[in-house]
Amino acid sequence: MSLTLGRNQILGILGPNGAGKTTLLRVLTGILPPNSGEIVPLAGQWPKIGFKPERLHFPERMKVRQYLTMMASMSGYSRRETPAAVDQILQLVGMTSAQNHKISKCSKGMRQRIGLAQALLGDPDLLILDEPGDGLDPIGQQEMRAILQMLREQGKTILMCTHRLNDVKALCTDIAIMSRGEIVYTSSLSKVTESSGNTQIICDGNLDTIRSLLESLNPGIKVIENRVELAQEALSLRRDVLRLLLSAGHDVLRIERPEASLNDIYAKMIRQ
Amino acid sequence: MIQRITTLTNYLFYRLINSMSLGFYLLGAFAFYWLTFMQRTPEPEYFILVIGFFGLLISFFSTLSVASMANESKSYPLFIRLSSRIEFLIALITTSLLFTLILQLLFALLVLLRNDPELTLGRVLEIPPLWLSINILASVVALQASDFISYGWSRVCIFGLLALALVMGDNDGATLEWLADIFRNIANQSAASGTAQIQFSQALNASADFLTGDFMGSVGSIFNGLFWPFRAIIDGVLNGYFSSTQAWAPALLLIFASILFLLAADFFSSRDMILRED
Repeated sequence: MSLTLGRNQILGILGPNGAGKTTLLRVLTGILPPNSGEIVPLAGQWPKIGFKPERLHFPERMKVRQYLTMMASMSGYSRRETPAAVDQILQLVGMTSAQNHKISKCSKGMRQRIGLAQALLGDPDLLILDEPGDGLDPIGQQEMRAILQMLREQGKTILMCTHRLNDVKALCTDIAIMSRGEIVYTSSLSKVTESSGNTQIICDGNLDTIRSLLESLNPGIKVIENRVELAQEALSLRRDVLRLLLSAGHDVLRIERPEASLNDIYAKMIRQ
Repeated sequence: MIQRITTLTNYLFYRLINSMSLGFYLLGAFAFYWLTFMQRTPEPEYFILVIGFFGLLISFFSTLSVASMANESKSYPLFIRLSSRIEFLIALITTSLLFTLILQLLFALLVLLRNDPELTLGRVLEIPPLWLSINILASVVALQASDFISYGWSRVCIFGLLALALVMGDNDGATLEWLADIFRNIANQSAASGTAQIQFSQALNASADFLTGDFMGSVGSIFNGLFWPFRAIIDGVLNGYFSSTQAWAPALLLIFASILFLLAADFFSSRDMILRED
């Protein structure tokens, strides 16, 4: 298994339950030693890692600030630096007003924020997040996305496992799809959305009269009612197609290039 | 590293004193006091040995309690921040020893105030190396018994070896004699029941001879040596002074503890850290 992840990147790892996503994260964080082989960081040196596990368990009787102070101390902040570092993180995750709440009294969304806050303490180079949006309401999810986006802009590298394709679409720069313990697909998100959508030429009326003529140009051309679909291999013939349509007296209403759906690619990869 | 160990120790101590276990330890301590000191004014040697034994028990069980608390998924974010897993083990042992020491000192203070044993300064100075070495050894032995450290057959191996050492290493070989007598009795009964059992009877007699033979005697003395420090401590305390050889006993216990700690660290470093989800 090989993964490349650079600065300013957010890699989303997708996969069905049992694909090995969480195991991969555990191996990367050193919680689980690999059964065989070894992990070799490309940069030669292990980055500083921040980790938010999927299921968040905290010492329930502790207060939010008390817990983060402990984590700051574990991350190497001196006693003098700790209060400022904790203040900054609390502000970043929007928990300043809840800093004196007992963790047991915090909602699921607040617990996600505490999980993210502890992962961020120590200024890690690589942030590993298991299901970061889990349990958050729509506004909470938006805020979480904004925080992760901001972290990316600050130069952080983020590796996240999720089931939520919307999170991947909104956040990730790259995706990897896992199935049965292996990475079966990797790509940048922009390439995914560019890659496989057919170009569609929508006309004002039914094209049955010139269907055979159009389809004879290339097998990648399909006529369906009032639209012509051009697959990637037939895209170079778009001018000819347009000329034929106009000469047959049809008006072209619009030309569309719908994005390939991440869901489709995901489903295709998993089925394979 | 020191900062991480200190933070972890504070955290584990906080967890321990905020858990139900604290109540059990306090109740246990009062029950122990009631059984051992309520009715008497103790002699100094009784005071030293019984409270030493109390420390051994508390140290063993508190290590198990702390290890169980550390074995929860709450510890994941802590593990990520360690440069070596040994830091966690050191914090765990330190927490348990700190807790034991506090409880042991409070217990001793209670006995001193209520039962007023006649302790001289000389006898008081004997106490720290004895209690500390016993507590440290008990704590490290408990590590081997906890789910947090051991896995698979490691626990069975360690405690099987310890049980074997206890059987083989008793002072006068009485356990082996007892076992050999049982074998001989069964052999005699088998021989009396008919010729078909003669081979079985001979095998049992041979095993009995082996158990009481020279080889097992030598093995027994080696295992016997393992328990020498405990006997030396008890003898030294009862005599009221330690001979120059007996004075090495606490140091020897610490060497045993170091070996067991290294073993625990080795198990722990290669363990899957799949912690308990609660």
